[in-house]
Amino acid sequence: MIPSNTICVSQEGPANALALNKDCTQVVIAGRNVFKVFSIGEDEFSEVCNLRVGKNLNLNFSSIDVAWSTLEENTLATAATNGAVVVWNLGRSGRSKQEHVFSDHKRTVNKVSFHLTEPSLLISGSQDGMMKCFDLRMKEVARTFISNTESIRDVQFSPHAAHVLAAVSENGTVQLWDARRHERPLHQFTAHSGPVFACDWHPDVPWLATASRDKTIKVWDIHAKPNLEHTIHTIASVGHVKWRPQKKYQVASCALVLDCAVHVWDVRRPHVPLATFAEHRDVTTAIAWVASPDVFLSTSRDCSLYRHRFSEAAHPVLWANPQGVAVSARGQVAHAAPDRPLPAGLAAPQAPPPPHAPFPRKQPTAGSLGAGAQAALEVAFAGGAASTLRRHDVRPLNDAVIGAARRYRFHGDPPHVLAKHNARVARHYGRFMTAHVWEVVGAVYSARSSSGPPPAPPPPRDPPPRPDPAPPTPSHDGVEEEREEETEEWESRSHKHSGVLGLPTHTIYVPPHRARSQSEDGWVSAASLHFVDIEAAEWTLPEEAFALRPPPPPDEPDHDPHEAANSSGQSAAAGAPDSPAGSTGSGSHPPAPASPAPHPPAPAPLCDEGDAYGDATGGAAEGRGRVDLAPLLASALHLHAALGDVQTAATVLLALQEHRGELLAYVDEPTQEQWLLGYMELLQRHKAWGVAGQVGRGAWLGGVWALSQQSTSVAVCCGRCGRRTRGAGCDRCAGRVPGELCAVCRQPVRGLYAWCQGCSHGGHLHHMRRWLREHDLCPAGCAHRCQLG
Amino acid sequence: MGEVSANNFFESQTIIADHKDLIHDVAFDFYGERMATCSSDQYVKVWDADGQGGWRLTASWKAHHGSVWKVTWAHPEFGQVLATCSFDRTAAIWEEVGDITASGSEKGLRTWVKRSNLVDSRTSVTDVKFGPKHLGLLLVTCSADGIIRIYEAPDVMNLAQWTLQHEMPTKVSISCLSWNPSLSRVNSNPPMLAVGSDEPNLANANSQTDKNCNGKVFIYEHSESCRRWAKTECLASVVEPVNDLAFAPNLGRSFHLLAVATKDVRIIKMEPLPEPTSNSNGCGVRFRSEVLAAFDDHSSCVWRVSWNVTGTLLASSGDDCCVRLWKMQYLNQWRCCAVFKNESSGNESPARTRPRTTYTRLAAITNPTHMPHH
Repeated sequence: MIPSNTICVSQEGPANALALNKDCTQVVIAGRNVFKVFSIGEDEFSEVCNLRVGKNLNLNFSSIDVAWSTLEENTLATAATNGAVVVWNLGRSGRSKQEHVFSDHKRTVNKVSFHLTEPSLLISGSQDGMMKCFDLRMKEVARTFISNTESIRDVQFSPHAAHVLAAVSENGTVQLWDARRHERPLHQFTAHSGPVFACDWHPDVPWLATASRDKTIKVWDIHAKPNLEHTIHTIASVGHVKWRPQKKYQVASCALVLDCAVHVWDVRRPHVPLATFAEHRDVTTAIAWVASPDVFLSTSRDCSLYRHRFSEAAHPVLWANPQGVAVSARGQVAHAAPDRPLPAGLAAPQAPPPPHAPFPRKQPTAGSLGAGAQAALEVAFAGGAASTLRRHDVRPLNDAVIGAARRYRFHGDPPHVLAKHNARVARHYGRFMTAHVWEVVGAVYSARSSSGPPPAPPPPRDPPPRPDPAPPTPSHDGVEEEREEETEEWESRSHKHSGVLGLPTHTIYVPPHRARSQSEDGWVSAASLHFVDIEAAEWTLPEEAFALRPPPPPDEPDHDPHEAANSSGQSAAAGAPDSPAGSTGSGSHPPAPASPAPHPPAPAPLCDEGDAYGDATGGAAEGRGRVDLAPLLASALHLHAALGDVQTAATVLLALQEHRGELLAYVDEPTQEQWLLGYMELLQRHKAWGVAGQVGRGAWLGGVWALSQQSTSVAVCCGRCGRRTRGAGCDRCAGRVPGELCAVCRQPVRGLYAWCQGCSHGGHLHHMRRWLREHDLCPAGCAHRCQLG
Repeated sequence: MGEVSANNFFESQTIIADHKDLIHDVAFDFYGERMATCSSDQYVKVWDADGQGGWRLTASWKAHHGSVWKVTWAHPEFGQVLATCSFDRTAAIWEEVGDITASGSEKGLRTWVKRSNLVDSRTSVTDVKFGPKHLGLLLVTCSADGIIRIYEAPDVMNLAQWTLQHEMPTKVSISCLSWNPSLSRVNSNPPMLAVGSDEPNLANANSQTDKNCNGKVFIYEHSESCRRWAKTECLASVVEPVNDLAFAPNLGRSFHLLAVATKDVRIIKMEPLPEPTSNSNGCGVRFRSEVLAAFDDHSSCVWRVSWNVTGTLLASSGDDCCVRLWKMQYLNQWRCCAVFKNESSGNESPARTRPRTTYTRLAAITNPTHMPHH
C-alpha cells in the first residue's frame, strides 16, 4: 500500500494538528476525537499514551491545534473549540495529564505556540481576534494583544528576534508584534486578498511565509520594512506552510481543500512544486519536519499519520513535458525548449521500489529518483525555469505548393489537354513524379479521344472538374534533394524496359517523347511503358489477389462516367456496363444508355492494389486490343495518396472528368471521399478557398458535393414590409413594389444591395454606409446594431 | 554530429516568449497563422503571424492555477476557440471575443474569455484535444489517473455548455492522446483515439499488470452499434513510457500512421484488416501494425512529435533539445532530413546569473557570439 520507506498509522479519528517534541522522537496528534502521543520508530509509530481519557470528555479534549514545548519535555498545549487553552503535563502521575485550563478566549482558539527560548511563555490566537500570552508559572494571562481583525489564524514567535511574533488573520493582514508591548503592532500589512491561514518563520533568514485562501504562498522579508520576496501559485487554498530545514529556498505546503498532497516548493520557481507527496487520500491537515530536510510527518483528514521520506517524493517536473513542437499548415516549425534542460538521466526513472499499484494514483513516478539524482534535480530545478521559443521557417516550399495550385489550368478541355498542361506545371515546380503521372494520363486519354467517339457532354450538375495543384512530393522540406534524386532516376529508368505489367507499380514513367509517339499511334502499349519505382519495390501483392478477382470493368470509351457515377446503384442493377464503383446514389441522370457492353458487367469491383493489378493483367489481354490502364493509374494514385500526396490522387480523378468512371472502379468510395475531402482541407488550410470550392463543385460524390451547398442561403428582409423574403422579392409585396426596397431611401435598389447579416435589412450600398457612419441601429427600425460585412 | 545543420535551408528565428517558466506546448491553428503557447507560469499566450514571417503577441492571460500542460485549437468553423488543460485538474475552453463596444485605439483589442471549465478530473489533466470537425464539437481529455473523458458541445454556438459523453477508465496513467483525423464518417472509419501511457515500467510489477499486453499505446474506437468507446487495440511494440503521440493527417491513405514519442521516435503504420481476425486471446484484431521506423537520435527521451498537414514530415524533439525532421524517402524509409539545434542548451552561465531576465537571455541566444558578460 505504502512506499517502503513511508510509514503510516491509522487513528480512530482525523487529527487537526500534530506537534513534535524537542528531540523529534515523539509526536502528538490532536483532533476532535483523537489525542495521542506516538513515539517515532525506525519503521513504525508506537503509541506512547492516549491523552483522551477520563470520565468526562468535554470540549477541552477536542483540539484545533496542539503545541509541544520546545524546551520542556513533558509540556503540551492544545487549543480547543470552546475557547480554552489547555496545558498538559505528560509527567503527571495518574491517567489525566491535564495540568491547567485557560478559559480566557471567548471563541475558538485557532493556534497555540510556545516561545522558543522562554519555557513559560505560551501564546494563543483566537477567532475573537485576540492573542493572549500566557505565563505558565503564574498560570495567568500575561498580555493580551488585540489585533482589531476578525480572527487570528496563526501566531508564531520569531526565531530571529526573541520578542517578535507574527500573527496572521482572516482579513488578509499580517501583524508583527513586540511580545512586550501590547498597545499596537510593530508592523501591519495586507498580505493576501483572502484569509491568511498560516505563517511560518524561516529558520535562518528573516523571512516569513504566509499561506492563504487566494491559493498563493507569499514570502516576506521582514528584515526592515516587510517586502514581498516571492509568490508561489498553488492550485488550491493553502492551509499550512512549513520551511524545509537546511534548504533555504524550499517550503512545504498542504492545501485546505481539493488537493490531498503535500508539495515542497522552491521559491525561486514559483509555479511547479519540486516534490509532491501524494499518499494521503484526504486533505492534509498538518505537516512537521523532523529536524532533518529528508523526513516530515503529516496528518490528514483520512485519519492517518504518515512519515514521508524525501527519497519517496514524486517530482512533477519530471513528468511535465518540457518541450513543445508544432508544425504549422504553412510549414513552420515552432519549438519550445528549456533554456537549461534538466541533467540527463534524471528523466529516466530507475525502476522504482513500490511493489504495489498505489491505489489512489496521483503521481505516476513516485520515488523514482536516487539520492544523487534528487540532489542534482534540486540544483537544476530552480534555474531551469524558462523556455526558448524558436520558429523554423520552411516557406519556400509552400510557395511552390501554392504557386502550382494557382497555375494549374483545368477547365473545359478534354482530359489529355488538361493533363499535359498540368504535367508542364508540375514539372515547372519540380514535381517530377506528378508530372509523370500527368503525362501518362495525357497519353492514355489522348489515345482514347482520338480512337474512340467523343465523350458525352458532362451533365450540367457536374461541371468540368478542376484538378489542381498537385504538388505531390511527400515533402515540405528538401525539395531540392528530392528533385535531384528523381532526375537521376529518370535518366536511369528511361533506358530500362521492364515492362512487366504484373509488377506492382506506383508510378508510371513515360518519357515524354515516347508518350508523344504513342499518342500518335493511337494507343499505348503496355509493354512500352516503363514502370519505375524504386519506392514501390516493397509493394508486392499477394498472388491470390490475381486469381480471385473478376475481370475488370470494360473499358468503355463512350460511356459517360459522370452519369455512371451519379446513378451508380441503378446502373449496376440494370446491368449497365458502367463501372459500378463510382456510385453516389444521388444522381439525377439515368445511366447513359451508351453502347451495349461488350464485356460482362463487373459484378463488384473492389479496389485495392491486388485487384488493380489482377485487373491490369486481365485488362491487357482483353478484347478490342486496348490496354486497360485504369488499374495502373488507380494504383499510381493510391501510391501518391500513400505518400501523402493527396493532390495528385484527387486532381487526376477530377481532371479525367467523364472518363473517371473506369478509374473509380478501382478506388472504393470511402477512399474517393477521403481524397477529395483531404484535398479540400489542404486547400482550405492554405486559404485557397476558390480552388477548394471548385473541388467541391467538381466532386462526383454526393457527400462531398453537398458541402458546397451547406450554409449558402442568405436571409434578406423585404425593405417594404420587413418580412423575410425567399428568393427574389417578397411574396406579399410582390407586384406592388418592384424589386427590393432600400431601408434608407425606400426606393427600389438596382445593382448592389448591401445588407446586415444580423437583421437582414439593407439597401443601397452608399445609403447603408452613410447611415451606419452616423448610427448604430438598423435603418429599418428593428433596433439591431447593424454591421455591414 | 554528422548531420548537416539545417539553418542554411531553414530560416530560424527566436521569439521572445517571456514566459516565466517552461513552455509545455505550442500549437498552431488550422491555417498556421496563429500560434498558442502555454507554460508552467500558468499563462497562455496567443501569437499572430504578421505576414512577414514574424509573430506578434496578441493576447496573454493567466489561464489556470497550475501548470498549463497543453493548448489546442478548435477547427475555425467553430470560431476562434482554444482548449487548455492543467495541473490544477481542470480543462478550460476559451473563446476570442472582439470588444465591439471599444472605440478608438482599443478597437482592435481582442480578449479571450473562459467559456467553460471542465472540472471532472480529480487529478492533473494531462492532455486535451478537439475531435475531428465532422463529428461536431467534441473534446477529449485525459488525466493522470487514467480516465479519458469525451465531452460534446451539443450546440456549437454555445461554448459554455459541455456534456460529458463518455468516461473511459484505464488502469494506467495517461499522458497523451490523439484523434485519428478522419475527414468523414464512413463506416470503415469509426471515430478513433490513440492514447499513450507514461506509466513507468516497474521491474517487479510488470508481470502482474496487464498480462495481455504491456504496451503503452492503446487504440480506442467508438462503436456505432453499442454507442460506446472500447479499447480495440494495444500496440505491443511500444513498451516504454510514452510522452506524446500523434496520428498523421490521413489524406486518403489506406492505412494510419501513428508517431509515438517514447525512448525513441517511432512511426507505426496501422493497416486496417478487412475482416477482424482473432488473435490468441480470442479478441478481434482490427489492425496490422508495423513499426516503420524507430530512431534513437535524440539522446534519451523524446518529448514531442508533430506532423505536417500532409503527414509526410514529422518533427520530434527530445532531451538533446534538438528538433529533428523526419521525412519518408523511397521504400517507405524514413530519414532525418534536418536537425535544428537549440543553441542555448548547455549555455548555463547566463541563466545562472540572471535567472529571471528572460528577455535578455533570449536575446543573447539569438546571437551567441555576442553573449553579454555580467
